Amino acid sequence: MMESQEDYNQTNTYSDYEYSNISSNWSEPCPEHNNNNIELVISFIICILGFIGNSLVIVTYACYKRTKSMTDVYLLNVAIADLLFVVLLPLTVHNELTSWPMGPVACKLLRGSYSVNLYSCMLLLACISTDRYIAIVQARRSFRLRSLQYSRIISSIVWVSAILLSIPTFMFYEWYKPTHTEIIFVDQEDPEEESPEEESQYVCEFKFGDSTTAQTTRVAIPSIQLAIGFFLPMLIMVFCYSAVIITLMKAKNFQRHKAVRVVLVVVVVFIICHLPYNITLLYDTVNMFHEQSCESVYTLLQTQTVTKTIAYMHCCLNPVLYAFVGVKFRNHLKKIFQDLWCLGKRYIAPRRFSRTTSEMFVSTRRSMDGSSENGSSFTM
Amino acid sequence: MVSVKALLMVTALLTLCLLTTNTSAAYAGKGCCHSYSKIKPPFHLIRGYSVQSEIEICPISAIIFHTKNGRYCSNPAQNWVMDYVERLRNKARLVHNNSLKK
Repeated sequence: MMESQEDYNQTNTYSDYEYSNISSNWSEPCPEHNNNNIELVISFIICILGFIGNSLVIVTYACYKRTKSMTDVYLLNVAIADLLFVVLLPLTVHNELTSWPMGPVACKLLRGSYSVNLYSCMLLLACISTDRYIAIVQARRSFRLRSLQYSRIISSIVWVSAILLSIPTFMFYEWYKPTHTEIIFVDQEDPEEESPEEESQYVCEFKFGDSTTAQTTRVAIPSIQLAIGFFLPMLIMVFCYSAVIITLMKAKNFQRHKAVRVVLVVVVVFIICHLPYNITLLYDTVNMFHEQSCESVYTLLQTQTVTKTIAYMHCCLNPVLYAFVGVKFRNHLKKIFQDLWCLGKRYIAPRRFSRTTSEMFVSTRRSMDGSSENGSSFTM
Repeated sequence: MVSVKALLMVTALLTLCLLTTNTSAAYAGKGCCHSYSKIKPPFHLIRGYSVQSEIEICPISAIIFHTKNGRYCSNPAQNWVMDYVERLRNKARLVHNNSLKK
């Protein structure tokens, strides 16, 4: 009896719904954006470009150029962080676009190393700017402050703090099937009709113990990323490089204009790459707990994908902006290609690739040692 | 310098390992509710429900009612929502008890 009464009441609501079908009264779960493979293709391009650039930097340091200044040590570390990042990037994107097929270990590893590399890369770039500041602005003190020993200690501190800052990411990313995709059916009248429109899919996302942890951590993780992974390095860079530019402008050196230009490009590219993503991250963090229409969620998601990709590109640009912009580095690079070319002529035809690389490294290192000179990588 | 090469090798190996453990699965939407319906679904049309919890991927909690006409995102803070869930549970228990008698 009661049931029919209520059903009658609800038929009215039902008809209401019929009329207001498109209106905002009825909210459905938001459909996820299309599984677009463009993202995967772009991540592969970033991966390849970043791999070439950063491994060239690493190879140059490993075989041709000893790390002589603090900036050299930092640059090598940035290249390692970037290389790890770009290698893991297509894997992460592939997993995000499919239903995270690589399982729980890959979930924790990929999310965690993403965070570690992000922090270490950003903090190391700040270290480079500080080193250049000391070298140029505080030139008198630079002999005392700039030693390889220091830079190795600082790099280690950066890596350790990057790992510490990533602990929440390691902790809270889990591989699981979200409960909201699992339907608890009550009405089994026509089971055939219950098409498996969506099987539960695994995700690698946040999972918390309780609501309080959920709400704090959801705000805390992006806030720390914004503060230490973006604003802190940006402020350090802006401060250091402005001082550097002011000092350079005073100097009477015919190359100063080029130096100023390079410094400006480094800062501007950093801001162009990272500012849009961090703004969307901030917007997302602020609006996360508010009710949002699916359109705005979709727009935010698209914006985030685009700005994230721009931020990722920075990893490919770092080798160019920091390493290959230097004359010495370019000379080393030329040497690498020359050596490869010579080796190709000498070895590939009779012996193929097998042992050529290791021999090349030995021979070129000897030849380089004689002609090398000391100096910072900050030479244009 | 040996460590750099070793690091590269480890990275390559790790990538390879991760790639080989790849199993295929179709992609379906994460389909979170981001806002709540202001209207109730008619109870007799409900065929099931899902629980969306803020402790998981989606940032807000919701109860999703699956009806023949579509899905309704409902605010779990509202009393009628929990009432509906309770009634659905009772309905399920009834089915369960009936099938035990057979």
